[in-house]
Amino acid sequence: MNLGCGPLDVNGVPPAELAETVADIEGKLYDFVWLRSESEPIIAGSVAVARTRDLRILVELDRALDPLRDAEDLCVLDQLSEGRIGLVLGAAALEDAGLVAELQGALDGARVRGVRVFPRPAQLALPVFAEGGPGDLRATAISYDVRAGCLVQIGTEAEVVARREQIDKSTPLLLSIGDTLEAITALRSAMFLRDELLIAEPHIRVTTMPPEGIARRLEASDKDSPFHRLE
Amino acid sequence: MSSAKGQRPIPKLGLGLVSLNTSPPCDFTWTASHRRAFVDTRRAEALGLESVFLSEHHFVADGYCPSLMVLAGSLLAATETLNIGTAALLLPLADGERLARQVRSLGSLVERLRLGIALGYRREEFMGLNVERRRRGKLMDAMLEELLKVLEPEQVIICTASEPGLDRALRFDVPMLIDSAVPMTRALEWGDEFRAQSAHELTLIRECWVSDDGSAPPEAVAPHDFAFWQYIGWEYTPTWEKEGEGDIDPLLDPESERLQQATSAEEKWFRQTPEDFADFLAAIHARGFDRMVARIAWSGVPLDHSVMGHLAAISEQGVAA
Repeated sequence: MNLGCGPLDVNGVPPAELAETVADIEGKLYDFVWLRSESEPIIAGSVAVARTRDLRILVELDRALDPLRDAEDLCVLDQLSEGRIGLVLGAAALEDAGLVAELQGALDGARVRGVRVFPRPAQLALPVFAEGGPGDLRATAISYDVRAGCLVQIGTEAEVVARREQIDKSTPLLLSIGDTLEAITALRSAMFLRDELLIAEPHIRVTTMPPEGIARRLEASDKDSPFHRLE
Repeated sequence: MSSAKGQRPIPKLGLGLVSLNTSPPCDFTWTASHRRAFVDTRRAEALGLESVFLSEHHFVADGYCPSLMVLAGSLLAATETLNIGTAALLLPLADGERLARQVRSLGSLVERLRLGIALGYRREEFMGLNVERRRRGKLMDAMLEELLKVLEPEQVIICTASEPGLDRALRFDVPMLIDSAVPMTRALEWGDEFRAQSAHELTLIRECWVSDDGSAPPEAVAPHDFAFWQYIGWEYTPTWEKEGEGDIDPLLDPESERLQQATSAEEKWFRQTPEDFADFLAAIHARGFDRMVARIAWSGVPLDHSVMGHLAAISEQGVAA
């Protein structure tokens, strides 16, 4: 199981504070962080990349896509990070299936609008996750032919199973859970009992959302780490 | 570089151009090239250099960096005092609103950003990004006005290889950088004209090779340069130079005169001893240049050759930034 935290709302967060936060997250041995921003999360990602070494970084785009420019930025960021970047597509990004397809094509090295994007990502394929709310995940996965999978929020073992059954088993899930003890226990129980369902799929990622939003924490200038290691 | 009383003043010294591309026979992967950018930039800061400049192209198979704001963000976050410049970000090819958001997202790091901008020329880039190439001048003016709303004038640099760029820098009252493609005599003339009308920073960029005896670049470097021009250099050749030459670019022919000329040490490299280089720096400072960017980074050529490897020897020549 890979343990991450997020979404970390980094909109307006000073770079020094962001750098300190991601370094802190890495120091606590999280596997990845999920960055979200109304502005330009890829730039926040570029700061995070420079201040971490092993932490995987999910960047969420929740705006209309600009396939070629987004692909260029993500590929360079993935190279700078030596292959630690993943992409989360939020609801606004998913509104235009054509743009999603173009972005995926550009990331895959296909010719899009007459050109190919270089450099290629450091990873053979950049993980892309479509963020799913309570809607139909099967439709989401099929519509966008997402390579990596869907990101869903769950709270109980039953929800894990329900979400898993909504989409094809070949489509990995990125699970976002609350950090209540019940949710953690439920998820771990689910993973243990249904290893054929979860453990066998190498792409599954599990995130933990801090009990209070990181933005509120930062605004309150709470110098204590907003994150706690889940054991 | 350290300063000392009584030494000849020289311009601020920057290095470049970091473009992250690799081509045969360079055995760097793209990932290694990107990793090296962090190492080189931190080393430049530790050595006391003023800036490192980055360069942009799109859709080139050698991986030339297309995303300068992402690269700049990482390098700014990885350093503490070094200025990170671009020479150049191709402004007409950018999405103005996106660029403004990216600049704002840098927060306090933006204070060390020196955003050099240029028109761009490769047709493939304009086609791919759906920008009308013939409108690039007007786009540049319009986008520059918007850019000046999010950056201080001193942070925006017009990078130019032609006289309209000089006019634009004066018209918008911003700093100017004269590209290495401009012959030295003309660069000095433009510098004089700019200095006579503007108090803003004036930067010169030259392709430099500094060695103990002023000799040509060593054999370890020349093959990279030759191969670059043979395999990929034609991608960067201005379109107007390619037109009318048939389907096969002569640079693909190893025996072609153009290839030999492009890689000739006499034509390409600005070769100097540390003493010559120090004299040159002092001379252009006296001529009104505020910054000299030594272009010493090419695909496969370690940045610690040339100027960076001879800083101590240069500073011993009685100069101080």
